[in-house]
Amino acid sequence: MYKMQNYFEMIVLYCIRIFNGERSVYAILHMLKGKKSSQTIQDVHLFGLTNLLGTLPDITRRQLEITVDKLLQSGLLIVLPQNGYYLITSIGQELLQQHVKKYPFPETLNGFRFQNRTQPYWSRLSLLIQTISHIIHKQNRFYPIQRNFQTQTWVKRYLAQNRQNRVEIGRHLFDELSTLLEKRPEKERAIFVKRLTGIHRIGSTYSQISKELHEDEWYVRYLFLGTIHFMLQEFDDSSVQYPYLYSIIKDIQGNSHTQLTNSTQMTLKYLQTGKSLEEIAFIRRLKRSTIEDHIVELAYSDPLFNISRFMSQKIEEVIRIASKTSRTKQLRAIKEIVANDEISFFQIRLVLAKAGDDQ
Amino acid sequence: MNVEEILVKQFGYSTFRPGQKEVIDSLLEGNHTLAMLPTGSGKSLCYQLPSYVLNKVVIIVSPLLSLMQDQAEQLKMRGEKSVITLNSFLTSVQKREAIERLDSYRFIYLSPEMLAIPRIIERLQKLEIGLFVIDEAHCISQWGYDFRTDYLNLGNIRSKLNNPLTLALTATATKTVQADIKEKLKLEHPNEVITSVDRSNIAYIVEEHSSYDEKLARLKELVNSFDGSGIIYFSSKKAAESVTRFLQENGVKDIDYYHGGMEQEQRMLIQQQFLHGQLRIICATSAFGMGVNKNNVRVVIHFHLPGGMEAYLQEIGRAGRDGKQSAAILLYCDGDEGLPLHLAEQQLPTFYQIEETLASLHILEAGIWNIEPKQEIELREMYALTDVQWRWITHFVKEFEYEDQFMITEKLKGISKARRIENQNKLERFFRWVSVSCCRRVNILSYFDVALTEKNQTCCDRCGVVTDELLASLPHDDLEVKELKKTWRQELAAILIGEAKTNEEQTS
Repeated sequence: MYKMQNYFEMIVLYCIRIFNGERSVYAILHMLKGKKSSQTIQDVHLFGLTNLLGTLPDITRRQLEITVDKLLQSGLLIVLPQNGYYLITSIGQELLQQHVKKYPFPETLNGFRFQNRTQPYWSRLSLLIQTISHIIHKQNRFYPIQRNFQTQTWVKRYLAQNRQNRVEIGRHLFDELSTLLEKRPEKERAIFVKRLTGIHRIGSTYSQISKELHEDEWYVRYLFLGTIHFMLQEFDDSSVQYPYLYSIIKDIQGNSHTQLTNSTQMTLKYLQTGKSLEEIAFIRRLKRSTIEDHIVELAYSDPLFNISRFMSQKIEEVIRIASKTSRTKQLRAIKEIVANDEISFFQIRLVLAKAGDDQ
Repeated sequence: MNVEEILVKQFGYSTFRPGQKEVIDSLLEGNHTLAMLPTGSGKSLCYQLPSYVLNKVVIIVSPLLSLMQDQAEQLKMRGEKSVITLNSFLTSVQKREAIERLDSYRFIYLSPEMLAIPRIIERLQKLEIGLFVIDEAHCISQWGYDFRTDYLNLGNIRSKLNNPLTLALTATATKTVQADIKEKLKLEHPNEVITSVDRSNIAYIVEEHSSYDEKLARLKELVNSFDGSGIIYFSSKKAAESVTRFLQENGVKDIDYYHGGMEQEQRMLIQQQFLHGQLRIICATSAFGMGVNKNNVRVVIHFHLPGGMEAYLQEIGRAGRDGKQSAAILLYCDGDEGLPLHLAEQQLPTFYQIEETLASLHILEAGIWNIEPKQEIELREMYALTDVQWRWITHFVKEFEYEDQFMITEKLKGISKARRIENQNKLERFFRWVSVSCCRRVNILSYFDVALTEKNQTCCDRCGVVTDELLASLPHDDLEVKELKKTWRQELAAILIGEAKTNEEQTS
């Protein structure tokens, strides 16, 4: 039987199973890279992939293609003749189950919610820690481990605004980080601490940690992300408990939806003043389909968004039932089942958006 | 304060290194200066120190983003806060802010493409420029080994800035390239400070082996035969990675790889680990080294042939900056010539690529100055153009913009052919050095038209140096062991809480 080479293969296999022949591999690419488009954001809700969104921002098209090809050659996937999309085979299914059981995604992983905060939080935190570590050890000169200009400026400003004793800041960071890490499994703690750069030691790379712990490098990345997302979640839940750490990231809020286009916000404003879809399209000189995209997006981002102005209660019900019986998220399939020319793709998308994750 | 006092006070050195004083004096007397100082001889001091005498802004044009950042970082480490790097990494808001406050900086580092922005030129014209520095000035010459098309405009920019006092700096320039630098920068009668490219404390060795496997086995022996730091250069990322893995599996500790394909953060960690002695050996592509200021690199090994004599000197120049005995070892096996020849080929577009790309560009409505990213991607994919090839073509199309398409095509083909021959000649010149039967040092110097003045006993394999004896005799350098503390909490405490308090904690 095929032996999986790395954790990335498992992730790809997992996504292919979830997309179940309804999306191309590039949907996986966009999803893992965290593309900020309505389509990708809708996909992660529709298919329940909110945890993985934007978790591998540096992945390349080529890396994905090579991996898919390997999985295909090994009989874990088949190609659908009609559209060239992929389906998982039963061998693939079996292998995937074994792996997911052995190496589950950290339960704290939440790319949808945290992808915008992950990178800034870590770069600021790691540079702040390096800086404090040097200052309290009376060394004021060192090479910053983060080269990003924004990050460096942020740390400078932070230290200028927080005039208290540096030893004290170090102490507080230590206390808060300890409290958080205590709630994590041993392996996650080890990885997190090894990644840090301080006075006596430069942090380790993922590859070095993976060798030390005899774990797959991709898996190490995900465990680390799990720790970071856990911390961000804690700040959302009880920021007062972690005043020092929370202050690192409090200026960046919001999930992937909030980051979506201003254009959608504009559409929302017009909707709130009672304008119809057609009117908005006319006023804004945009295509009807664009405005539809905005509205679907709004339906995803706001659980209380009311879709009744776009269809009757009855139509909504018909679509809901059709989507349940078809057990698919493919619009075309649902449209065939409802067999009613009066019902548009737009309406189906809206209902699916409302149904969201609870399917 | 005289320059010696500034040297002590600002830089913490007691004496100048060869060439530095001459360059500084020349500049302070108000002369445009062309300076060739070997890699690792403290070139940046030549423009940093005068700024404390002139007390006017110093502009430094530098070709590589990473190099620029490293130098700015080093200045800041020294406590000089008044430094800005202007490059495409800044957001537009940051750029605007920086440009507005431009007169408040002492050192302004710029990439050449920033100088193509009219707003920046306008702003610079209003400054009183004390010194205009062109770092890696050989990039301006198409006979130099690292020709950069956007350097060609620097002559015009100098005129626009009213010909400020100028320093052109390079580590490796033949007589032809030196002449080219002066001409392109429109430097009239500059002072020239040409110190020898010779690094007498580096011994040259070429070892010939019969196969790849033999080279690999030898490499393993070599890294185990000295205890100091070393860099091993490869021509490909893949080779750097796989040889690292091989050496790790064979028990070599404190070794890792570095190349341009890695994420920035991971790359920075490796570089810092090496600087701090946490890693002893780096397997790298030529992406590693520029701006890495490590004094005690003892050995530089080339597993593949470099891209020519200048590239070779740059790379081995990272050894022995502390002046102590060091070694440059090249592992050669028959047939190794193919790889650098192939890589040089890839730098230039083929006739087919030139013809087709120009035909496509011709029908583009937007014109060469307004190509959209999407169109660029399409064109590059269609004709398989590398980054370098694309920049090369677009540069010349812009340069010959008023000619008709046929003429441009022919001109480009002519230039690319000439460059191709030149590249081959360069490599062949290096291949000859590999097989030369007399002193390697004399041979290198003759390439730069310099005579050998003073000779180190430990010169090269042709002069009787034996690799293993040399490695055994190199100065020792104990690596500091930087292990993690026992538990995660102790490690975290060691980072964030002072040592004394950590001990208290452990006892309590």
